[in-house]
Amino acid sequence: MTHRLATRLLGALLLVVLSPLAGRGATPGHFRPVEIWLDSGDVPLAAYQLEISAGGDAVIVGVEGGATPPFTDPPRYDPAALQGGRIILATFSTAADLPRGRTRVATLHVREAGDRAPQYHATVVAAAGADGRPIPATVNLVAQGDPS
Amino acid sequence: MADDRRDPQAHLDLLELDALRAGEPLPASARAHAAWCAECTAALAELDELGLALRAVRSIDIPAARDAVILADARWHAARVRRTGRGWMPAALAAAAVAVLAIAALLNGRAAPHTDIELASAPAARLHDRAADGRVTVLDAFALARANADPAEVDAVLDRAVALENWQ
Repeated sequence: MTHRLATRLLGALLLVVLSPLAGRGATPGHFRPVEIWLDSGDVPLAAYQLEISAGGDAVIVGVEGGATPPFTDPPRYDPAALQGGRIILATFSTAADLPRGRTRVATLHVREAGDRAPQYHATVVAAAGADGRPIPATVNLVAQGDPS
Repeated sequence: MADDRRDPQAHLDLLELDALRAGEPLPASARAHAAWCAECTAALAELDELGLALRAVRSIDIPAARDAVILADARWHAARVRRTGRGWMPAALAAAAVAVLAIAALLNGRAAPHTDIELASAPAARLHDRAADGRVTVLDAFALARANADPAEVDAVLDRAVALENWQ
C-alpha cells in the first residue's frame, strides 16, 4: 500500500516536472518582424522588385509598408506567398520626391516555428530610378530581435 | 534545324506555314503534308495574302504604352514556355510577335518610343541573373505607368511580376 502511494506520488511529480518540456516541442512558434532595407546610394529610388526567402519552417504571414514616402504602402505581392517561405515584392512610384540612400521599404511579418532563427535571404531582382532606368541597389534584412 | 519527327498527318502550324511561304528549311514530312492537304494549302494562301498586305503598309501607329504591354506579354509567355519546357514553338511565336512589332515600328519611321519606354528585362539582367531570361518585372509596370498606360494594365503587369509561379 505504501509502495503504491509512493509510485503514484513519483508519477505525479514526473508529470509536473516534465510537462513544460513536453509542451516545448509543440509550441506554435513566435512572430518576428523582418525589416527590408534598400540602399540605392545617391540615386533616388523609384521602383524595386525583391525576392525574399526564409529558411526552415518559417512562414510569411504579412507584409507591411516602409518608413519613407512614397513607399509607406505595402508593396505588391502574390497573396499565395503568404503562408509560405518565399515572396516577391515589387512596387514603384512616379512621385517627384523619392528617397535616396538606405531606405526601409517594407517589413515582413514571419512566424518562426523552431527554436533556432531561420536564415533569411533577399535578392534585388530589379531597381530603377525616376527615369525608369535600372540602378544598382543592395538589400539588407534586419530581423528584429537580432543583435545587430 | 527542322525536326522531322512530326506527325505526317498533323497540319502545319503557323511557323511551319510561314517557313514554307518564305522558302525556309522545313521537315520533309511537313512539305509532303502541305502538298496534299487542302486546309494547309488554304492557310498558306491566307498567309501569303497577309504578307502582301503587310508589305503594303507604310505607317502603323502603335501607342508606346500598348507596344510595351505587348512586348511584356511576349516576354512573359516566352519565359513561361521556357520554364515549362514545352518546346521552342510558342517562344518562337512570341519572338515573332515582337519582330512584327519591331518591323512595324521601323516602317513607321519612329525610333523615339523605345527610348522613352525603357523595357525591363534586358536592363534588369544587369542586376540579377534570373531576369536575363526576359521575365516581366516591376520595371515593365513602371515603364507603362510612366507612359500613362491604363492603370488596369499597369496593375496586371505588376501582378505578373510578383506572381510566384513566374519565379520558380
